[in-house]
Amino acid sequence: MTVRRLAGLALLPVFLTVGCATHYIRRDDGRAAFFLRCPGAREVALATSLDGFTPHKAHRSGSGQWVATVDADRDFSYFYLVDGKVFQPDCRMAEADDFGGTNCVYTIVP
Amino acid sequence: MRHASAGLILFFLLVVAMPAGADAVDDGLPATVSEQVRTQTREMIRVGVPADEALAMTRSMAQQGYSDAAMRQAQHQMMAACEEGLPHEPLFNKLQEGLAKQVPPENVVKAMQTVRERYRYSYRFARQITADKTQQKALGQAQAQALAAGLQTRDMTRIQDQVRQRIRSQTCDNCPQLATESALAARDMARLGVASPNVAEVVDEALEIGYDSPRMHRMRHQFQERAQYEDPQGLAHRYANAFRYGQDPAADNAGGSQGNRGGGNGDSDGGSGNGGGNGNGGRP
Repeated sequence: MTVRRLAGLALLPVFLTVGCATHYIRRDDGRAAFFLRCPGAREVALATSLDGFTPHKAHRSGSGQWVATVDADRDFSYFYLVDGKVFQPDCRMAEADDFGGTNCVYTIVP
Repeated sequence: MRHASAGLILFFLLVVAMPAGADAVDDGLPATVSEQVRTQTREMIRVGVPADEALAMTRSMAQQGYSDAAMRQAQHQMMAACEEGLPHEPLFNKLQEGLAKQVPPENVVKAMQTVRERYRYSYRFARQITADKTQQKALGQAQAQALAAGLQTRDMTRIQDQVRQRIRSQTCDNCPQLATESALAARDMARLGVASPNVAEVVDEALEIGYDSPRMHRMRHQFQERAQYEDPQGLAHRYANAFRYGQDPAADNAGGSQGNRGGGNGDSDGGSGNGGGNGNGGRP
């Protein structure tokens, strides 16, 4: 019983971030807008390899969607920071981050 | 008079210029940074790391509370990459990523070493294939990225062996470019989640039937497009099977056309249009 309770508590942060879903990207003239549906989040940022993973604050666009826009004229890897914690959305292209996790990869569509 | 001028110049160099150089490191780092780390920061600049990057990296580590030992180990990785003629930027990026993710310093140093080893392995082959520094960089980077995407070294070696075979049999016009396109194809398939042996199988078979670099390039882009609508792993199986039966899966009619085993020139497939709005979203 205690084990179950502990497991439940351990999984709580996972459920909170799993609340973030529906990740997609819109491209427009060399820029890309990253959308993440994350209704419960207080703060969302996008970190990319374009600029040394400096967090770009996302803004709330309504209906729980967060949006961050970056210049996207070349390939790069990225992840989100949701309330300061790394959040990796389900993405089409990914690579190992060498820390035991993965990064999503943005590519210029041929 | 001439001696007096020479003496003045020497005085300027010794008294004014040299301490000014030292101050650039001293001024750029917080007072808490030890003399050993400062000395090693100067050493990094001496071996070729740009001063602003050497200072930025040391400053960031100090701000995040890295120990002296951890800072020196991270700096050592950067210096070693420079001394081995490898690019230092991927290691710097890894450090910045580790800092952004608040990864423990020892794991960041380990990750930097992993990146360096990937580049060392990749550049070894690139230097065997071409003496051109630009081509070495393109090939080295493409291979290192393929490994980061999940391609195993043994599978990369299989692709490299096939490229060597093409060079020996003189069946490639621009062999370094073919090697790079092969590595990029492997990288993209691995990024899409295709298992490493299957990635190697597809690229190896493509090389075996005589793909040149434009055809490899088209296959890579076409695979990416098709993978938006099909399971990438299944798609890779289909490509490998088609190659085995002498067909070109990247041809216009998607696996129906006869390939030209042993041939070489790329046919137009017209298949690399724009995938549209959100091709980087979730895995299909």
